[in-house]
Amino acid sequence: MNHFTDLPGWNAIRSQRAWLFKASKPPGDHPFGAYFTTLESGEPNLATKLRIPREKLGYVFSFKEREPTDLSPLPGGRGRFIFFSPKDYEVEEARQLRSGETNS
Amino acid sequence: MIGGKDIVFSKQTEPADRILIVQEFRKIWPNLLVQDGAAEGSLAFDDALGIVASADEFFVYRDDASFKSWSEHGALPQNDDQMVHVMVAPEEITLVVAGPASETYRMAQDAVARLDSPSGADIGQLFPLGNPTVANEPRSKDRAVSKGSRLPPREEQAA
Repeated sequence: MNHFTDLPGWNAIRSQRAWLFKASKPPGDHPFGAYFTTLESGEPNLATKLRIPREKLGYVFSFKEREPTDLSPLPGGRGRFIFFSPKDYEVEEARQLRSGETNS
Repeated sequence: MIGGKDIVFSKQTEPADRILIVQEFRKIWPNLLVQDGAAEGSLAFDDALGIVASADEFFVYRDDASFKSWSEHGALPQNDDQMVHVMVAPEEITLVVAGPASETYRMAQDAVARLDSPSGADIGQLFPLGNPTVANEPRSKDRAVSKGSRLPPREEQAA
């Protein structure tokens, strides 16, 4: 599972040993939450599929999901690749895979 | 990490649905371009019928400038209302638009209304002279499926 962000977001999240993804109200009328995607940084048209500025794809956090998953798919077609937590979402060190620049 | 408004419409889908959606958009965007979800380039409507008829995911841009802006920058306030993301599953169509007060939202609502109309998406009406890409598809009026299974569109709200 991946979370894309910009440099300020990356610095804020990685400043803690356990990554904490803050829930917020996204643009539009999507549910309040912390949002993630199974799409990788090399996915064609990634910014278009997430409908976000390309500059928000500059950094990524990748982690293992809990089993069973505690993230909900977005209703509709984008639920194949967009998931969210309705509250702040913490990823402890054992589930952290990598974080860094994406070259996007 | 997400933008747009997702309009989800439940129905038994068929290739003609995809073409109808883009035809509806073309009434407002005569110079629209279509991009396959996995492709880099875009095509004008007449050249994109194969993509539209078969792809499960594609983007419709208002014009070439919109396509270039999205390709270079992703979503921006000035281009957000110039692209619709279309995803088609066997029993569901999702249209991702800019927002509830947007032109793309109205276009999507018109397309959903057309899909939900009694005539629905009849490939014979869309292409009375035939379309090689979907020529082998039976006309929807010959089918016993789909019309009774339609549900109103859902505009996704808080989970």
